Amino acid sequence: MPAVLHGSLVGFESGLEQVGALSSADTAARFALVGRAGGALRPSGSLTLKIDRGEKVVVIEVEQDVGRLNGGALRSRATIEASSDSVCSLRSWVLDTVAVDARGREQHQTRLVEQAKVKSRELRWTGADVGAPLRSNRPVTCEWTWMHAFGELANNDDDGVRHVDLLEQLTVMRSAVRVQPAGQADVVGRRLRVWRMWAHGLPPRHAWLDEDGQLVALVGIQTGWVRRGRVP
Amino acid sequence: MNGPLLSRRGFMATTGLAAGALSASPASASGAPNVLLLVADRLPGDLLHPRGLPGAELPTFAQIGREWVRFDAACAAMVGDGPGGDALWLGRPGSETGAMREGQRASASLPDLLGWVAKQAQLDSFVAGRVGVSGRSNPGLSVLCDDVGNLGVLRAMQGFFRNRPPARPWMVSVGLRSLRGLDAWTLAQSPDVPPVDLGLAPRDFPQLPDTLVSESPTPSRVREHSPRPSGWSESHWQAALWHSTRILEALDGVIQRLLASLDGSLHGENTVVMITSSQGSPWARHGRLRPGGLLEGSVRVPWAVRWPWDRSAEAVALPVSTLDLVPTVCATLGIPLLPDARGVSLRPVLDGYPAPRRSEVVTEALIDGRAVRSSEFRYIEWRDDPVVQLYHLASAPAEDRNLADNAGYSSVVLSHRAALELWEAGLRPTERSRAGWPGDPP
Repeated sequence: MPAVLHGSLVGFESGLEQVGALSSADTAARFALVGRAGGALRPSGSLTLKIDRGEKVVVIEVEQDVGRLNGGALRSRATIEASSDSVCSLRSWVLDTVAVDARGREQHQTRLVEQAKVKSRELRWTGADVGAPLRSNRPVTCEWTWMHAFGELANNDDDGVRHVDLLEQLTVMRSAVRVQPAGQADVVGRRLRVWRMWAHGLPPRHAWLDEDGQLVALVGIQTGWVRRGRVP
Repeated sequence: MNGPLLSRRGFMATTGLAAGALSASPASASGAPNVLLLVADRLPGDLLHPRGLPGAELPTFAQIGREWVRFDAACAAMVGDGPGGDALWLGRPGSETGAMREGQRASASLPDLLGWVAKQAQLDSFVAGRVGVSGRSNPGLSVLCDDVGNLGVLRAMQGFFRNRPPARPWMVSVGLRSLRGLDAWTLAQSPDVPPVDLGLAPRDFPQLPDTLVSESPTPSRVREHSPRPSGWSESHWQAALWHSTRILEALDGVIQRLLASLDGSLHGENTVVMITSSQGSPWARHGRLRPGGLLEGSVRVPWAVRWPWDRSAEAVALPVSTLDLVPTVCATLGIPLLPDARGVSLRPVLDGYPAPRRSEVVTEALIDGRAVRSSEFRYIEWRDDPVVQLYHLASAPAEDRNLADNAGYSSVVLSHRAALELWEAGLRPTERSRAGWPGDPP
């Protein structure tokens, strides 16, 4: 009798069948944004993460396009500096976003470039945005840093429960996000480990990691990022 | 409702003849305000009410409910995501547009608000996210961004607020994803498999409504074409409401940042902000997550307006409809009314004048369903269906005591039926709406 698929992945089956290979030596990975319930063949976004890991600092280069099939997208380019601690807490970043139409032409009125530094008591936000969220004593993270940090937890067999702040898309602060290991499960013939993160204001997401500690998928209620493989 | 007569200025605003009157309002250097119109797919009608939603942390929605002009008896004009949105943007009910249930398209010849505003020479019109009539693209309309998710729309809007010079007035219609995002999760839930164990304590889950197992009679068309989740355990329902709460909290954070960015820009002081949704959310009442029938949960929507000119907060009890959005926006912008729009402008209310004289609004569903919402009652009937429903909303807000067969309420039934007949007499229904169910072409 086949094992019942973990509930967080139900609806993402076809997307999981297209998981690309990645080794622990690879420093860059590609992901596709797929919808629950059969959206795998119609990815609605792409993401490339390039990781440069130093002794104290992890630099993450992000290229992300999110949009609908055959439509426009929001193009995000970010350079993130994070600490090489267990949760890759943010130190600084530069984020450049702009909406593009179906032909890839930029909607210049929507361009926004921001820089920020995380200080001990505050976020120093430069650029246009106002009303920057306050920070607490918790580490400040974002989902892009977590796509690397989950691997750190997995490789170190770190099963602790953590509370962090998560700056979603480096834009909206979700406070007191709980990050916890949630066991293992067999998925498409592989034994994967899973972590869960959620908070008030952050519907639960499940991160699935393979035996090498590489992220296979990060899925939410409606959509999920599924690994497509290494960067050519 | 026996409200006082409208003033001359209020009448002009109501009828879309208000360009002259509008010039009396403080406005921008160009003489007209900007309008930021936030329309979510589905939101619970109680969202902005002071009692809020149990278990939810929604500081921005709570602030909007406290500080803006809030319409507490706002109703969707149509039930169904597609028909509801189409009616809102066209200002006409589905029986006139042809979009009466999911998959049906509104007549292409009918003008909609977005195209109408885009034709006006004195202002610029933009859209961001999923807005407008299903399957329609308006030439002349500027797209800031497509449906790129709420965070993407937020970033695009933040950029717009920063980059847009304040010279000409603008309207931006923003589509926000909300509880519709739970549909795929709902479909993935099997009654035989418990939902994912999130490690929560029982106290962490929202309380299920008393009417989860509904005793109300269900019209046959609702049973057939808008089924409820079947076989779900209590844990499925609890998980669904817990996830719904998190979705609303996520949206709350997005709106907080959106308004903060607007207020920090050059446009903050001269922009009217309206927030509503094209559909309500039953929130598990009567065993429903998706809008289906014509009970309050499916029909009632939140609606609030931030009016920048000397307007204190107010909770307006007047029954209003999403059909009123088109005339209200036109009057606010000082442009002619969209031809044949059915609603009334609420601009007089926003200006502090007495509310328009109106005693009820009508909602349509699945071609043959009609509901009349008056200040006290909800009356529902379906063509060729013996189930007739009448609920007194103050004494039975859960709509669990049907008074339609109570002899003491026969006059109420008759008055609401008469109001419905008056409404239908004024319609110009499409052939499709006369054809009945089923057999209507998609």
